[in-house]
Amino acid sequence: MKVAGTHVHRLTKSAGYRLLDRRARAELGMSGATFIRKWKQGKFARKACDRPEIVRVAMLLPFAQ
Amino acid sequence: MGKNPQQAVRNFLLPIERSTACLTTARITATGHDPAKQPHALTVNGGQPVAVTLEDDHAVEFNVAIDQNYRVIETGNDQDPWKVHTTKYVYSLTGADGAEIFSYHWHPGIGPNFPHMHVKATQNASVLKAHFRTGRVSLEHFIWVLLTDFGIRARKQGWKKILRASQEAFERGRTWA
Repeated sequence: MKVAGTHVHRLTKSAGYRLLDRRARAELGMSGATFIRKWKQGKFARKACDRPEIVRVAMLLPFAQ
Repeated sequence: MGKNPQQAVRNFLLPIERSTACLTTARITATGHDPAKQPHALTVNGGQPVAVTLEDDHAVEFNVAIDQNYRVIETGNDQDPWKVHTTKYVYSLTGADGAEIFSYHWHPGIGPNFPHMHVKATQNASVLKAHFRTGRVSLEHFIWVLLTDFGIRARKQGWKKILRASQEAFERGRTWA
């Protein structure tokens, strides 16, 4: 499905989750589910400041929500 | 700006689409325009790094990642009642080996609230950890740096004109610099 008037694609929630999962595995070696759980628990709060790869995964969280 | 959320998002995405096309044929993916589902996100190449080559060499030299989060908000303006605000951005350049070279970040609520730059192509421990404060960096500026300073191959004829036009639109619409 596309955003009207553009060539930009929209994803279903499951495809969005897979997108997040791929990046979480590539960047952090963990599944998307593990990343989301740890993120919600605040376990990245201090580390994110010094680890851009955590931020890069967090940028994709809206795709899985 | 737009008369409804859908139009506002379209008007937000079109210059991003045009600018990104100067760098890559990879498509943009976004979460959409629903104001009830916030924030939204966009990424390029399905969230995977985009391989790019130098102008005079077709071997992959770099990878690029482009991510933004945005919100669709009401303006209170009858003419254009809906607008899109960028709420976070991360633009990264990595080498062919995946190691980051530099990146522009702005992600309030995660680490420093100010826009900043990371420089990773160094062994200096202080530089590796530093958050170099910047002003707000546009996607157009990031792509311009890649095409000029790094010599990455442009995918569009007239890319300078395209990026300048998008940059001007960005500067007209932004609420802070």
